[in-house]
Amino acid sequence: MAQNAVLGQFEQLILTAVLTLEEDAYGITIHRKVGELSSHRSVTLGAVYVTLDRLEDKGLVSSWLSDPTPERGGRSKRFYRLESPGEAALRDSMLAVQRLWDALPSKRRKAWI
Amino acid sequence: MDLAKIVSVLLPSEVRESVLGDLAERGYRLSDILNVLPRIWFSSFRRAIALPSVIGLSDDAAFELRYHQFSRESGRAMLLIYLLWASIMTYVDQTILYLLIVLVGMAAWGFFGSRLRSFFNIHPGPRSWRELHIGRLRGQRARAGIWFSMVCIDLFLRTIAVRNGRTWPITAPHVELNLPHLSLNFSISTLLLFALNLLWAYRIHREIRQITTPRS
Repeated sequence: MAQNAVLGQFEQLILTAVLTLEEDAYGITIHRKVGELSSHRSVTLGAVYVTLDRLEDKGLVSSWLSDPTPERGGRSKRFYRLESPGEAALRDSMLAVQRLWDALPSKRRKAWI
Repeated sequence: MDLAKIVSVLLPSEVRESVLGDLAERGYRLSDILNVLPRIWFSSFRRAIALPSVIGLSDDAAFELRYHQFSRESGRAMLLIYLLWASIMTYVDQTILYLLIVLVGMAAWGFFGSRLRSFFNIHPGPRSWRELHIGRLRGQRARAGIWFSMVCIDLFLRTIAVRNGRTWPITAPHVELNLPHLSLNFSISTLLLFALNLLWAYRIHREIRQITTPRS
């Protein structure tokens, strides 16, 4: 059976953002959502672009250009969509985190929340 | 000239539209521009040298596409390598001879290249595009390896000659040239050039492995 891609923490954030934004996932909205999800650290727009490129090369997301939009000076938006390998990789990552969380002593879990 | 136009010129063409739009939406913040530009270029460069994902397909049409794509890539890579070599030699020997050689070579290739290509271009026939592509990759890898070995031997011989203070074994024992004629610089710069060639060969080698290794 083929192994799903192993994701880094930032990749998990980006994929989660793309998944939750659904039809509205493009550079700015993904950047904003990633900022919300990782409230403890600042996220730059450049880091989002680079990670999206890498995820696209891995076949975890796909992208397409929209029609030009007047509010952006007639520029197109590059929208992103999670592909099934991306969804599988994100699911594996989430389950791994869940298993780690469950493995912690309940006293520690309560202290951390 | 306004900021949008300057940024537009500085962005790689494949992402220009979407990134400019995003930057416009955020009001062209200088911090965004300074952060995005180097990262976008880094990503673009990484994608340019990465192995093409099309090879993952078993469809022979994908190999036909990759076969022609590789022809263009290798042409560009060789051109860049020779231009770099000519530039180094121009600097080292203070002569534009090498640059002229490359320019004449390029002109000749531009004039006769298409005729040569059409003469040697063989339709796959019974061979698949996959086999043709692998054959061409192996040919390029072997050629790069041979060139690199030759330059290594040349540098080795020149080093011995310089240490001995004689031009033999570069020349025949009865022919003695002045030491400056050995031009060790030439060999070193050529070695640098062919180190790039070897890097190219390594990339080809990876592609061959990617194609020929059975996928699980």
